[in-house]
Amino acid sequence: MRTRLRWMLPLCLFAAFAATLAQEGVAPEAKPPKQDRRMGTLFAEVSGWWVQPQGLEYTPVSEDYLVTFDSIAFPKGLKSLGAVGVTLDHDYQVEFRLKAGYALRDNHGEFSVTFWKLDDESYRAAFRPGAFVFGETLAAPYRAGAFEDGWADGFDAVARTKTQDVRVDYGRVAFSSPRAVGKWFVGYRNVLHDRSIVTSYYALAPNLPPLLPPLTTPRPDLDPLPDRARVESELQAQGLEGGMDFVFPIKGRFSVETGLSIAVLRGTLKTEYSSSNHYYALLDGEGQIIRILEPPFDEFEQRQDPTNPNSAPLVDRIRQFSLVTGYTVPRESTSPLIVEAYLGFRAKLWKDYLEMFAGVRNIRMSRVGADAQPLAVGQNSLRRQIVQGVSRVEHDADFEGYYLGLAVRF
Amino acid sequence: MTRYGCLAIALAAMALNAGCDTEQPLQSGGQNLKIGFRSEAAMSVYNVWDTQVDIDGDGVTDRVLWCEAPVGPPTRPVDYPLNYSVSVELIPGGLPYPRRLSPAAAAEGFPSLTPYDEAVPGPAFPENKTVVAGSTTLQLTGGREITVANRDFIETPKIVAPDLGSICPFAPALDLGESNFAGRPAEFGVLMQRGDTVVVRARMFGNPGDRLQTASPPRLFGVMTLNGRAVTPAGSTSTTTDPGAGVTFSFTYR
Repeated sequence: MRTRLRWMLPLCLFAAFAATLAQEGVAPEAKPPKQDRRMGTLFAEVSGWWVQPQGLEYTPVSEDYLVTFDSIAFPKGLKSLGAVGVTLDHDYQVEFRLKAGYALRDNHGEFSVTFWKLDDESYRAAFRPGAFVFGETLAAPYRAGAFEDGWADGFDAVARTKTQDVRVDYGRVAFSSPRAVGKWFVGYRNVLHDRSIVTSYYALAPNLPPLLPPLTTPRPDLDPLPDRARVESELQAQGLEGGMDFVFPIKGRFSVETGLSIAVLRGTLKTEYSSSNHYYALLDGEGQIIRILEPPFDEFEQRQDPTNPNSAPLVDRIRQFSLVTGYTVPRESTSPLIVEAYLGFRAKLWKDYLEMFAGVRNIRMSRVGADAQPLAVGQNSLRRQIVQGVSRVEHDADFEGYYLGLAVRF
Repeated sequence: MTRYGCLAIALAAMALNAGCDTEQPLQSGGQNLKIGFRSEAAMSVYNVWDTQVDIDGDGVTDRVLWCEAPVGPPTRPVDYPLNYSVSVELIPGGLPYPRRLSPAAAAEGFPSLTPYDEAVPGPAFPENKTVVAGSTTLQLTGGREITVANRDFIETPKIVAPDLGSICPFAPALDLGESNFAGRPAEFGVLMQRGDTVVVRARMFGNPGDRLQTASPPRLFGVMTLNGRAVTPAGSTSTTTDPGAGVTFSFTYR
């Protein structure tokens, strides 16, 4: 409710201000324009948007920072109980935003197509060999971690966010005065939004019993393999939008512009989850699993015949296996909401033909992503993973940043 | 034009600020990490004397040892020369990829050897004496009290003649070689940068007590010092006394 009020108050003030300007404005006497037989004018805008994604909420690990000497989750001196989520940061990047259209003469309106897309990749890694302080938050909760307690001593995570936004609008001037011009528009909006994160959880220095002669020949295949998890979603949504643009001429060639649009979309969301954890198992002579080993893996040091120290080492019959868990929802209905606002200025560089514009733009996309993750995993008689419960968390996306561009009209 | 210039400068400053976010470890001066292994076992103590006997029948007398029971306790826990296999890996700070520092051969065939008992020999009385062994009279000199783990005791032939009074536990001279760690004398040095981790794995010789007849089974344990100061690694630094036991430990310089 507080959030809505925060938006509503400026909007009301803005609308009242615009209406006042429209009423008191008197169009100046102007020379009769030169007769123009064209139906309208073409226009195009290209701008660089220095944009930073926000609110994507990629959290690949938690950190038990109380036992970490050099926490990555918290600055030194800050206190918290328990583990702390570690999130990924997203840098600013420049993306192009294109707009082209045709404006009919005599205020019959204008048609426009707007396009922008963003491909953001963020990376974070930390390695604390021997200090198992990173919680495997994305790994399936069955046999995660070298000691099967869900902790790792290192991780790396790559998150990728791809967004594409296409608008096809029709707009028309609602009011015009020397101090303000207001234009409404309605249209169709198509949004694609993919998000994915791939995380590897390492056991760099688990200090397991050494696999050196004479017990066995070196067995690099028994070095703990990193657990991996992948969480992703793909949105395809389209729907109607509407909004208002305002232009406030200031002096000479300069004007301030602002606008707001809201789109209510409907689409489909695909969510996917996969992870691979690992475990050690003792095999019989025919290669069948006798039992799964538990920490601290004393079997690595034992002999096949415990009473005979010269018998073959038990580790010869130990193998490392991957435990793959997957979960997919191929198609579910969703209703994202998109709110876009901008504020900037515009300057005419060459008559009405060439303009420069700059400002700040913010686009908030609600419910455009989701993370599905198993809550509990079991094994059936064929040792295949059975997902027994799933948590689903919806995600929003904010894109905010500064833009600078050129507009031509001909 | 001035406005555009200011805008360009502001944009450039923000771009530079956005580009300075890193978690890479800071590089500073390296620290010297020394890794060593020792083995400890209860070893028999003897009063020994040097004497000259042609023990190999080549017509030339050889220095051999004459052993008698000590006055004090018959055994003492001392350094024990124990062969072991070892592997040392470095995980550079900020990377998940270990790099082996020790030669591959050090992990096979037990080429490394823990130090001998290098304690200063105790006195044995009298320092010199004469014994009659059958028809032979032996001049015993340099009496001293040493353990079986003493390198001189191991590498010198001994007279095993309990009936005559020499109770050495075994006769032959054994050549165990120089004490070494993966081919380096005594200790293995690693230059550590902040964030670096060293992982050490070792496994001792299968039945080490058989050679030197230890009074108690030996165990292998690792020692680490950073710039001369002892540090506490993660993991256990000491093996059990089981034959062929191994140990793995790691240390991160933070």
